[in-house]
Amino acid sequence: MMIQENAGVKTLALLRIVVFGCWLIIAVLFSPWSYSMLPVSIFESWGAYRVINLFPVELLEILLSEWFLLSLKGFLIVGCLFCMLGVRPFKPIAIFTVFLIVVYDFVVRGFNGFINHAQIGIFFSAIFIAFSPAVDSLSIHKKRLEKPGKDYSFPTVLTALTLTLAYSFIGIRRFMVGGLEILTNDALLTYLVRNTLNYSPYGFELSLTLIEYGWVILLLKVGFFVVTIAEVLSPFILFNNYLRYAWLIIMVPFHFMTLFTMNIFFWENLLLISVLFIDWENINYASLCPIIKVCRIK
Amino acid sequence: MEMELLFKLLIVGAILFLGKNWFFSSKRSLIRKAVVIFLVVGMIVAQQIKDHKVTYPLANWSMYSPPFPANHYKEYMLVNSDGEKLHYPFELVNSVNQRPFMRKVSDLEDESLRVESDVVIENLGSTLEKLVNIYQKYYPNEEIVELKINVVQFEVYESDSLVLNRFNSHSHKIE
Repeated sequence: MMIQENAGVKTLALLRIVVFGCWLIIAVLFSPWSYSMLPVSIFESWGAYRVINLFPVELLEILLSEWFLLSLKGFLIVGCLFCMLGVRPFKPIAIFTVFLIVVYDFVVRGFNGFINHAQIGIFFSAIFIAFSPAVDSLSIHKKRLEKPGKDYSFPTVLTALTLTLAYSFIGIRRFMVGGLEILTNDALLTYLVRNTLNYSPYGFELSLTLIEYGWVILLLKVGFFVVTIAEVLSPFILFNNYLRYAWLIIMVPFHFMTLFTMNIFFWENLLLISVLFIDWENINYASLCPIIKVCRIK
Repeated sequence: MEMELLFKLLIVGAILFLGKNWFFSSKRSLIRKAVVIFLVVGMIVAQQIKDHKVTYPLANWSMYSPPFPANHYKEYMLVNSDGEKLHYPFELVNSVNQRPFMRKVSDLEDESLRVESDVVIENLGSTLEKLVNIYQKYYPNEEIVELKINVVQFEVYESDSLVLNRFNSHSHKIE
């Protein structure tokens, strides 16, 4: 039996808040002025987005114009806020917001040299949520619409499946392409140093200190091997609680380590992990927090 | 390649088998079953094709796999009228993740070196020009005279030190 099968209305609502919350942050940080200044000639549509080539080139120019990108930012912020709050009618609002996310993604991706893997999970999750009853709990509307027997787990499981399969594919590729060599030679050292020296506004330089100690390098290599094993086995955490706890103990610190040692931070994935792999339905919040208990007694 | 595909199919097969009661429950609509199949098959196919530009939004996941990664990277330095140098703050273009856009600029430069075409050289030049314009929009009082692209090679000696070698690969003077 799958763990997320029990994910109910509350987990789905939490996923809705987190996913559209991530897109809200991304929308707020989006700089339409900068993107509208970049030359259209370097824009390249990717994959499914190549459908734009069927339209006159003027459409692309409109999509990349300052007023359009400014409007996109504005509508995206409002849409994400509405989705987070659970404003009804949810489906039309959420589907429109997902459409705006796709347009945003089309614009940003077209000016990129590679994809931002951190946004893939929340991208697909937003699509799954938009077509689900994600607003039956934790919304601004007081009336709860939770219906027994309704399938609240589908978007949650699909998001968990997408995320864990992606991790697994990374691990398998690393073992198949890199073999054991990647874990035994100086490849990790090169990755750490290159990402530390390469420009990043985070600006952490921990790696440059760590590489001075031979035993730390050995520890990092062992850690890299353990993380790769955890990545390969990721989809199985959907079925086993012990494996899930072990996976969380390995992968959550790993994501913070990549921030401090490589200036790479998959904060979107960390937020998704916190919703998907913690059993929010059955947590006894009062027992977790003595303060709440004391407050309630008073 | 075949081994990798085999492993992926094994994992996916095991997952679909373990979760068959949920994924393919008789209560589940045909559309939802099709979505599951499309997602899983799409992810595998995208991973095999290995080209995001063809399969996007289905992605190729291959981070930190090559066992012999390149020991160089590019830096983008603004030079102001006082001769001071600073890293181009790419967060002015993308605040969330700068490196995919940095790669784009790097690709443009690589292409301009590889292909001797006026269009390609013009694309690089106009992009660097616009990057300076974006910077000056945020910092209007600073006069920028040049945007340099340097290739930085590094050597790491275990438990010892780091040696850096910089050489300029492209300079864009601001008129």
